Amino acid sequence: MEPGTTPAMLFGKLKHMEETHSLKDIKDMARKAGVSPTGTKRDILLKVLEKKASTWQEPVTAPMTVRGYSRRPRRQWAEQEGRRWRN
Amino acid sequence: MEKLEYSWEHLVRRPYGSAMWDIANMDGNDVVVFMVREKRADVEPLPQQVGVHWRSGGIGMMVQGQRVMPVVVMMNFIPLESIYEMWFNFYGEAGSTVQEAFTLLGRQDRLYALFFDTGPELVRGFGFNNNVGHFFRGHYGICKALPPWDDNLFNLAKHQLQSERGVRELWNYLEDSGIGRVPMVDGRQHGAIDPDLGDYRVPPSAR
Repeated sequence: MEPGTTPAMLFGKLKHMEETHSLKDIKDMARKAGVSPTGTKRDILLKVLEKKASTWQEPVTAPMTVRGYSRRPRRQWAEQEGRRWRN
Repeated sequence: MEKLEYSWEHLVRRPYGSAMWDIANMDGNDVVVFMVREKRADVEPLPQQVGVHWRSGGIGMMVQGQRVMPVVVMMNFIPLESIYEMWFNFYGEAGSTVQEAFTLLGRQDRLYALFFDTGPELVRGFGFNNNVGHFFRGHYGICKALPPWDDNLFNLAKHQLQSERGVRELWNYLEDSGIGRVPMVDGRQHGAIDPDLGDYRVPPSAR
């Protein structure tokens, strides 16, 4: 999915695929994407799209108010820390 | 008595490029937030819409004869050309908090990337479609079915993974190995998971 994809575009894509693909095709698609191929066409497509929606981003309405950060011992935070790769 | 510190407080003491997660409150709801330390000058001018890829994976390993499954979330933040990794220790000393994070990530609509520099105030915050919800819903049960491990084993496993693979390699590995996938309900296996995780470990090619 390309950057800039909106929820409306995503829904349009889902409806289009629901209409044009057989249940078998959609199940194959689900297997390929590594999600469970059970449920209705729409259920399965939603799971596939969720999996594939790796670049779908939305603007966040500002300001973002975040409260209630946790307090923990340093080593517990350190456990979660990861590295960065920069091109 | 061990000193406690807020997540942001810990983060802003770490080098630029450090990343971690916390459970915080946003508009009255508890959500998992991913926190990154970067220079204000790099982050402030970013546009409203940015391209990001998210990947997640549970990497089952045998460490000192015991099964450990570090779970990682990776964020490829395109405008900064950077990939960040953040780890989850399901059975760590902060276990109940981590398990709550799995539950929240399984149901929250958005993934949040919050950028900090020197203080508690956000430099920028971005919200994205949550495309790892399915993974976390599935992996809650997978981790729960494993015998608990301790922090020491987790740290050994994480250290081993990090020494075997750079960030970029781990990023590719999550996709290529299918390890970020949840096992199929029809008996097909992705990520080499079976009920007792007998063959769930880093394949030889990854060593």
